[in-house]
Amino acid sequence: MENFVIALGLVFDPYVLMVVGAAAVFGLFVGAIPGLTATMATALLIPVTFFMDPVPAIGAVISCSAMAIFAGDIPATLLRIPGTPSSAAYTDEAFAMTRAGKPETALGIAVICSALGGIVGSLVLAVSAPILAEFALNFTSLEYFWLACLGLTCAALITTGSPVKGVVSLLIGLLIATSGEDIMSGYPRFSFGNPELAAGISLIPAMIGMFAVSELIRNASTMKSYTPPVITHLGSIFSGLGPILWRYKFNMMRGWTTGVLIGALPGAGAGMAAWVSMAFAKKFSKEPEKFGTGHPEGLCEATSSNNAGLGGAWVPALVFGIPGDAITAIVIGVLFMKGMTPGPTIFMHAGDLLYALFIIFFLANIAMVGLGWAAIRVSRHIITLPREVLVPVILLFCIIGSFAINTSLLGVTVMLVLGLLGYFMEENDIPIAPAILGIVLGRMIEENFFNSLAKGRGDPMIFFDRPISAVLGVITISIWVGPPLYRLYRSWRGAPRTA
Amino acid sequence: MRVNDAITGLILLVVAIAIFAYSTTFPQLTGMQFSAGFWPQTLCVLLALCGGFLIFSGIKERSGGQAWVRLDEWWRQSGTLFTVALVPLAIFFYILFSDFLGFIISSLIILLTMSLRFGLKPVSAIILAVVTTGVMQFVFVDLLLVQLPWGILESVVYGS
Repeated sequence: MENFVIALGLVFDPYVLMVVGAAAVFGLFVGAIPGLTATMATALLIPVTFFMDPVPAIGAVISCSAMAIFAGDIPATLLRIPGTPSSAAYTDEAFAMTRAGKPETALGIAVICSALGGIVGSLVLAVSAPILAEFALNFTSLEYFWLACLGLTCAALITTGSPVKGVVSLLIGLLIATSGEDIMSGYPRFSFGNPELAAGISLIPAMIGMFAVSELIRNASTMKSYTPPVITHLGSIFSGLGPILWRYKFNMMRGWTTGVLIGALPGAGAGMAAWVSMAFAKKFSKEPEKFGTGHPEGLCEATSSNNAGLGGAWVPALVFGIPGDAITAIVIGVLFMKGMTPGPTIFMHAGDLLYALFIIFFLANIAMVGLGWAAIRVSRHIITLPREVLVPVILLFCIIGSFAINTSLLGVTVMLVLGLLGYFMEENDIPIAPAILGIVLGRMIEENFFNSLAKGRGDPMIFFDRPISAVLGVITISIWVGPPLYRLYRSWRGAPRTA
Repeated sequence: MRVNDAITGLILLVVAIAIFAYSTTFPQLTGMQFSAGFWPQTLCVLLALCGGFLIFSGIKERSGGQAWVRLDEWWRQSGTLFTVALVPLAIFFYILFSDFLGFIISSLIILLTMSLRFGLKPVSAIILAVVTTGVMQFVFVDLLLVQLPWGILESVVYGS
């Protein structure tokens, strides 16, 4: 209770509220522009938050990411272009409502369901994280090693497309994380005599490069063919909304549950939560034939789900230091920058700060209704902003942001190299998110691996010495070897028949 | 630019071998069970395995008629190719010249070149470059106290 009162004081500070409000407007702005993602908005925000105290810095990330994910629904509804990948699952349905002359209803559903989903996600985070943290206090390097392995395995395998390419992305991230001083001997690996490289590759320029620069290259390639859209005037988004939301209340509840659970799964994130919820809505609907014609049922469930997923993704990030998605990977980077090591002890050492974050989560989602309404009113101006203005300005911001972290051109170089790498990867269906998780968790895995081995005097069976670590180890190894063995078994069984 | 998986796999294989070979030069301290290169070497082995898998699957796809390299339409339009290349080139320009020219001049050059190339009218491009540079200078230097380089303007600002 004492922490809660201190937290209220920390949050209701005019400076903090101003920063959180400004980040919310920034998130709405970037999220509403087609082609600029919520992750990119968060990555661009980091260089500015670097110079702030922990509460406004992390508060800014919370409000920016929540608003950006909602704002992605605006161009999805009006233009059939998802503003962020999280809106892609229901873009067709939302646009079908616009074609049916009901864009206001679709946007009203998006803003209210996003806000409610976000509030539920915040509630789950505030209630479950401290309980899980108490349990996690008993964890040693063995459990953390397996948890990180499990998290990274999920991140690599869950990604859409080829699992091998997910693993490749993850290994690229882990290899990038090996640069800098070796944990055991202190030897500067891959520094090539450069003292700056001996400190390792900075996370923020790496993320700006992979998420923002690669996106800018893509935007530049479509510059000639891009024509600004025309948007008609919109009426009130709240009229007639009550009966629709009441009718689909169970869909919303299922969306919350799916969102929180999938959001907490490392690598899955809000986008996947929305896809799964849309599929659930259609599968269990009494009127599945109406899907695709501008039916609000799937929209209610999926928009509830992606914003609930945001809160869910914070649970493993805060409790175990294992990010649920790319945005929480950035958050972990920010926490480290602020001297807060994510993990169960953060609840003992920085309880007031955590309560402050939970309060900001609630505030941001409540404010989403008003700010979302305002963003929809001015959406025609945001969406039609010319690319020839946006791309150079964002690029300059990326350059200065990467430079500002260590006041060094090495950051800008890292951003350039990883931006080109990120572009090549995405063009060839190699996902970026596992690489980012690899960069964030690389050191943690390596450190826990060697610490555990040292405890066992080199005996690898130490990893199965404690009950929880043994269970986690067996689950992780089963995920590694299970699917290939199953495939081998199937091809062996199938071989005689096809011969 | 999409390349056949076999090419991606080959690149990964070569990179993995190169990093593995380089990390064998890392020292092993006396009394320590593993050298500083053990962890990167383990990752390289896994990366090489993935590379091998991609080479195998890429060759299989290739026998199904897939090209080695598929270029998007804009690669064939020399104008667009330069427009796209301008993004990495602008960053490269900043890395090479910002220390000498300073942030303000580098920023003005980057913004003007890019916005004019992207099709903005000259007057609008000049306004965009000046306003953006001014806002960035104010936010990062005056508010966030970041030391952006002054370059050749240093003598003008602080006197020689």
